[in-house]
Parts: sequence; structure tokens; C-alpha cells
Amino acid sequence: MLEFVRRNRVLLSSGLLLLCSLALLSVNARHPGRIDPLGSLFLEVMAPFQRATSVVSAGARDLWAGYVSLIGVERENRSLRARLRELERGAGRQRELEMMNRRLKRLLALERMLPTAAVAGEVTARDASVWFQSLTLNKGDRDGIRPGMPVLAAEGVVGVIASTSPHASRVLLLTDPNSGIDVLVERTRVRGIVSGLLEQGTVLKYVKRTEDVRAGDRIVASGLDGVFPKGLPVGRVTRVSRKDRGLFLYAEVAPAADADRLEEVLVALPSGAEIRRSQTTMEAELVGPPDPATLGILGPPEPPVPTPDARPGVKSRGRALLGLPEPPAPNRGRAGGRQEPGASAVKLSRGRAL
Amino acid sequence: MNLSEATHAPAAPGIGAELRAAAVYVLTGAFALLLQTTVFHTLTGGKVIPDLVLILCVYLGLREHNVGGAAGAFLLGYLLDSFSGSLVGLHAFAMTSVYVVVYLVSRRLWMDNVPAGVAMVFLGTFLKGLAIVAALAAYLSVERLSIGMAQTLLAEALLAAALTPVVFGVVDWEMRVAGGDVR
Repeated sequence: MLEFVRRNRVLLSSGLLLLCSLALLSVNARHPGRIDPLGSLFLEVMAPFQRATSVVSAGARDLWAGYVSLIGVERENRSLRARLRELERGAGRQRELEMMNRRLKRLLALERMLPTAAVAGEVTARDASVWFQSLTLNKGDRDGIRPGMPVLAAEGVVGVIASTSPHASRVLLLTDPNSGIDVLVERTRVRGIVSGLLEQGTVLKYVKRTEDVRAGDRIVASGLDGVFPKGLPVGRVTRVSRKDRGLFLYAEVAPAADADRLEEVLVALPSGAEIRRSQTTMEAELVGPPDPATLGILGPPEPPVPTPDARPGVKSRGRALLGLPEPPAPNRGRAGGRQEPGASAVKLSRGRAL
Repeated sequence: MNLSEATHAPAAPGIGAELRAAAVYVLTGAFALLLQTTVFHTLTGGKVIPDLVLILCVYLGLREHNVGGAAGAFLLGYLLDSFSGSLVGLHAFAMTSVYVVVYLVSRRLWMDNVPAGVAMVFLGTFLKGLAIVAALAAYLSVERLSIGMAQTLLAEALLAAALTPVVFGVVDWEMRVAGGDVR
């Protein structure tokens, strides 16, 4: 007996480990919360390295684009090339800041629409496999983020928090095959579930064949899952097929938020949640010192606000949910009153969780 | 044993050597995961990502015929689960399955060369895909498996196979540097 065990110890231990993994799978498939004793530790240990690697790889890409492609120009033009590179660096940085500023402004507008507080996070890594769709954020438990919280972008729904560690968290994207969001077809108010596919793509499921769903229909969160606020854009129907047999139609959906291009997202906290501020703010990480040229992007000073104590959140939220056009929003701080140019960006980074 | 003999005696494989080998695998696995979650996304736009962790599992299946090899494959899969998808245990199952198949094949065939490793990684990618789909089918509803998935899998397998000599070479080099046994 002992001899048999000794001879086949690799196969026996492999079998045991396969059973362990199946047990883990069973437990996690049945429980809504993720049971993962070591996952949080792995995530926390790897997060700073992932962040550093992202920065280095982005730097290398910029270096390749900015320097290596210019090698080969004549020697006598070196001073001109140096000057050109300097200007390109400056212009590139300015363009980057401008785009970042626009993204952050849109996130800020979304945050004002939300019924609860929100934490902004930066995407530091993506899924390790092509089979699944997830992101890693640079904010975690310490910032008040917990599994199950909704993750949003300016364009719409992104996904939900799957797991957290003190300084990082993982987002299960809308496009992952294991995700599912209760939605409405905006035009006809037909309910369904939007879920990802193992292959690339997202589909609208459990909608009867007889229902009126057409290509081009906007899909919004129904709010019935208790996770996503009602009315948030989820995507748009791109193709509807009723050819297959069965009770339900088949509708492909293009997500509103393109997860491949996301750099910053908002995590909506439950109402009454306390937000802890990180030691390092996103302003320090992303924006750097205030740049007058960049702050100018935010536009000229706004006209004085006619009703200083009107709260912007409620009305704009109601308008957004009803699909009404937004009136020109007065650019105010939290306490109301007039705001200087660039104050939005500063507030986004100083206020709330950033 | 005199001093000269003691100085020149080869290091006997023991707990120290095994710990060094384990450290090499852990560090290489973590580095592979780091590349998979960041750099490869930048390079390929996330369309196809070569699974370096799988290559490491095949390496374990070819070189580590002991309980530590099986445990290593399981842990690498578990590590991958922490950074991929939402079902814990899926990759642990897939990687352990790949290890077992590679181990069984390498016990019967002479596999101590690079082309054999490349072939095993190529097949191992499909085996991993099969294991994942089987596990998903058992625990979740899997819909509309199509030719698109097979194409993605083929691209992933080809890319992983192309990177196999590099990964094997790096692990062998690390083993030599760490004073371990390169089999």
C-alpha cells in the first residue's frame, strides 16, 4: 500500500489538487461573495508592481514614439531635433493633460448625478487572460471600496467590484461571461439581463421573441438589481436575431463604456458610507503641479449663479434620468458660489476620495 | 573528508535546493503575471495574450516530477485566478490538469528538448481552454461557443508556443544562477 502511494505520489497529489480546485469552484459558484483566502493577499502584493510596470511600459512606448523613431536624422540637425523633441514632449504632455482634464470633468459630472458618494480610481492593470474581462484599480478597502459596489465611467456602466485588498481592487467588467446586469430597453421599457460572452461581446438575454427590440435601441440600468442606479446607460443594441429556436430573442449589445480605453472610473459607495482619503491623491499621481495652460482648458469664468443655494445634484439627476437635455450648469464648488477657472479639476482631485 | 574535498564537493540536492527552485518558480510566475496584466495588454491591445503562466506549468510538468511540481501548478493557477475572471479555482483546475497531462506524457516519451516543449505548450493551451470551458459548463451556463473562440485559442497557442524557448531559457538560467538543478 505504502509502496503504491510512494510510486504514484505525483498522480495522487495532482488528483487531490484537482479535487481542491473543483471544491473551490463549487463553493465560489454557489456563493454570491468571492471565497478566496489568498486572493486579496496576492492582489495587494502585486498591485504596486503592476502600477510600476504600467508606468514603465507606457514610458517605454512614449520613448519609442518620441525618440527611437527619430534616430537617423542628419548630425547637423541635432540641435533642431532636440528642440523639436522638447516641443513635442511639451505638446504631448499638454494633449495628455487636456484629455485627462476632459475625462475627469466628465467623471465629475457623473459623480454629481449619482445619488451617493463615489470614489474615483485609476486603472492599473487588466485581466491576465483573454477569456475573462476584469480590471485592477488603485483604490481598495482603505478607500471604502467593498465587493459588489458598482463601477461607472462617464459613458455608463463599467462593472462591479469583484474583490478588494487594502490598496487595490478588481472590477468584474460588464463584458465578462460571469457578469449580469438587470436592464431596460429605454424605448419600450422591456426588461432583460445584459451579460458578457466567453468570446468577445455582450448580449441582452431573457427577452421574449415577441418583444419590440431593434438595433439602435439604448439599454439602461433598471435599478432593480439594487446595484446600479436606474437610468445609467449600459449600451446600445447592435443586432437582433429571432432566427434561433427558443423562447427568447438574441440581441447583441455594444457596451456604452469601452473598457479597453478606460483610464479612470468611479466606484459608487452605498449611501452613508464614509470615504477615507488616500495618502496619495490622484491629483499628485496624475495631474502633477497645477499648470496654468491646462487649467485654461476648463474654459472662461462662469457667469454668476442666480440661485446660490440651489443644489445641482438633484435636478440634474432627475433630468438625466428622464433623458432631458442638461441646462448650462453653473460651475460651483460644494458650498455654492462662483468658482475660478480650473477649480473643477482641483475639486475633483481634492474633494471626495481623490 | 578534508578541507579540499569539502570545498569542491558538489552541493547535494536537499531542502535548500528545493527552496531555491520554489523561489525561482514563484518569482517567475509573479513576473509572468505582471507581464500578462500590463505589458502584453499595451503591446497587443488585449486581443491575444500569451499565457506565460501556462508555459511555466508545462515546464513544471516536464521537469518537476514530484509533489512540489503538482503543487506549483495548482498555486500558479490559483495566482492566475486572483487576477482573472471571478471564479476562484477555474485556472487552478486548468493548470493542474495541464500539469498532469504533461507529466504523464513526459513519463512515456523523451521530452527533454525544446521542440517537445513547444509542442506541449501548443497542446497545453488547447487543453487549458478545454478545461476552462468544461468547468464553466459544469458550474455556469456557457452559450454560443463559436469559431471565434477557436481562432482566439489558436492565436494564443501559437504565440505561447513561440515564446516557449525564451521562457524555458530564462527559467533554466534562473535555476543555474540560483544554484539549482537544471534537468
